[in-house]
Amino acid sequence: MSGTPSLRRKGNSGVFADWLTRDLFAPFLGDPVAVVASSGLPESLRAIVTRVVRSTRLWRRERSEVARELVSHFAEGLDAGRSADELESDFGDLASAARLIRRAKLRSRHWSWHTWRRACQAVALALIACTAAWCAFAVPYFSRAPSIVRNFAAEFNASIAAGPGERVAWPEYLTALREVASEQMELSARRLPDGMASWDCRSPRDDGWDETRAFLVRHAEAVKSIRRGASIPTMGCAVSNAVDPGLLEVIKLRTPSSATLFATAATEENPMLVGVLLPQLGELRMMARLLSADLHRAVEDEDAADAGANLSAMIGLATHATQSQFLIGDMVGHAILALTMERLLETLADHPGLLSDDNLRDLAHCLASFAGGGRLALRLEGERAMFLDVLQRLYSDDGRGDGRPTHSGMWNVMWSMASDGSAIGPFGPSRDSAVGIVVGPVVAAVSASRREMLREYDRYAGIAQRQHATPRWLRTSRAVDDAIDDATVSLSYRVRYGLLLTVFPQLDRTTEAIDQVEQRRDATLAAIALELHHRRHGSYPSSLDELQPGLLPTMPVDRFDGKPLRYLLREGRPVLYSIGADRFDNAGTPPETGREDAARQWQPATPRPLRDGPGAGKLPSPPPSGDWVLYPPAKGPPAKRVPESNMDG
Amino acid sequence: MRIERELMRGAGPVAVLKLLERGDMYGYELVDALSKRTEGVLDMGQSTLYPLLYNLEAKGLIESQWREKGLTRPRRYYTLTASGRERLSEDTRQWHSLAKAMKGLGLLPPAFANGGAQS
Repeated sequence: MSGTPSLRRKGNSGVFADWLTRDLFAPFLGDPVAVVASSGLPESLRAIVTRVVRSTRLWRRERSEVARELVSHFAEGLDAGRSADELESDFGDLASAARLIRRAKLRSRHWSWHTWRRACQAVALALIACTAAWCAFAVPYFSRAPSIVRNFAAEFNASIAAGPGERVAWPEYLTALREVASEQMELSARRLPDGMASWDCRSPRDDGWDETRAFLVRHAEAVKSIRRGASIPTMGCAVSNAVDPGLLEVIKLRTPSSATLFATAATEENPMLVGVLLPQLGELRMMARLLSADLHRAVEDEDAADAGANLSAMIGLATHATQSQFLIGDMVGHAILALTMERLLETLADHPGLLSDDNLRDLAHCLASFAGGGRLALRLEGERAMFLDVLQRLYSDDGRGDGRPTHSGMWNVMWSMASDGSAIGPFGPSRDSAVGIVVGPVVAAVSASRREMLREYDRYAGIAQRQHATPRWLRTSRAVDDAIDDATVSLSYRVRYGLLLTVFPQLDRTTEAIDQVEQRRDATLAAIALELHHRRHGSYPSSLDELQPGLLPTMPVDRFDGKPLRYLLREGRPVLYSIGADRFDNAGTPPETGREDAARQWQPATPRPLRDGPGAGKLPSPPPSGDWVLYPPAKGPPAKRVPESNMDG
Repeated sequence: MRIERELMRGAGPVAVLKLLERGDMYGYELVDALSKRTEGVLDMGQSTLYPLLYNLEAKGLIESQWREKGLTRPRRYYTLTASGRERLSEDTRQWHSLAKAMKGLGLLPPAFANGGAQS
């Protein structure tokens, strides 16, 4: 009980001070020098004690203890009548004594000190190991440089260039674009809900059609220029990182501020394919919509020649889009083709007598021979070239098709791929940012090699081509998505092939989009054949078989079950339909209003959760009950102009 | 005669424990007793003794305390702990077995071994 009053007398501050001196700072208290100095030993023995104690490199308190004990030992020896020299010679090896004393004293320290020491040693070892590994990674990363030997843009341009003296379409298109550009700003202020400018109005049922019609009449020459351009086989627009000067002039007329942005890019001799601009694709789509609107004008005017010319020209525009050699160009071409077929089917359904037999035969021929005829290919040459170009700019080259990522390559590629000009990922805002320098070698070390990366790219591309070659009704899954999903379960795979996963296109969706275009094309050819049959015989056939082989060389196939496309007569008019995504024949009845598009979206029998988008991680909605009615095409509600107060500019 | 370091490493600790079995001792006293009682065979200097003592202390076989009362100078006395006694007992058994084995090999004279085993 004696401790309690003592504590009370000292108070909390006194207890705290005791704790500080006795426990926390105790190891660092004590004065070994003073212990030796006050020992009274002869100088030679004092020197031994001092040297041993100092060599132990222990805490001050421990050294004091050792010094005190050694001093005591020597004093006992002297008292026993032994000389200083004898004691000195009996002591033994000083360095060995210090080492052994240190080892023994460390062993007696508290477990928490040992834990801390082990942790520090582990951290130090880890740091040393990391530093050594980083140095091993950094030497090749910083010392090697990419070897850019191929100019893919030049190769592309050589393959799409016109022959000597051959005309190209691009100047005709520029003439048309220049003519309409001056009015575009004014008219685009009056927008429809889908963002189209008023001259883009799709049909006379849409709000603002009168303005569109007047615009088309005013710019009949522009429409003719587009038709002329579309009739020329070669488009002649080069692949470049800079906007074509002629198009830049058009952009200036439309929106001067955008022109300033585009004008800053200088044309590079060997531009990176990922960074090339394809503004011509947007212009082709816009011109297709303009021709589509003019088709409505021609139908209203019962001008069969203009109507047929517009439809033919739209197919020409689609063909030109596919000449870009990139997958995106093919997709734009397919979209223009789909628009063309929709307009053609509308015209056939609503004005069956307008287009002449020759018109219809020509259009059927153009559609059937689009992109070489037959199945639309999944062309990945452009995508592969783009990937090869990234690899040659990012990786070193060992001369045998392999290499590792390099600092300069990593920087150049990341910079080029950043859409807004800012660097992305760990590479910070400048080439030599600290984060980029530290992380870069590690990223390079864990990334797949050049050969591995290309091999994996080709593996996925092969899966996509096999998937594309498999008829839609025989497919059971989205093969590429599934292969990527299976591979990316592994974190190490995601790290190793991060670049590939970033740039690899969604090829399953591309294949499905191509399937839809083919289904529309087959239905359009059948609809033309039906109309020609009706003109010859005064009635529609009871089955599509009657159209073969003269009017319809190949029986169209329903892409959802592999059987012939469904055909029936309703109120004396023909109906062509596919059973649709629910794979059930609803006798040509489409899904409920608003879900018509879902009927044509193919889904695997056992779908996987969505990978991205708003519903990521969830299973996709089941397909709606109903058929995909291809002919006559469904008409959406007329577009209404957005009130000025709601416009976002 | 001085014995090899390896042998000393095995014999030193048990010799110190044995000396402390009879009572508390301080460093110089231990050196002196070891030298005299082993006729100089286990003679060890400070450079060997004190690390040995600190090791035994770290293992909990002995403990120490400074004493000043009634002494001409402060001395650090070492005491055998309960663990130390157990260890000494175990080591003693092992040394007896070792001596017996050496005797069997003819390395020890019979009388020496018997006497060692009985002491």
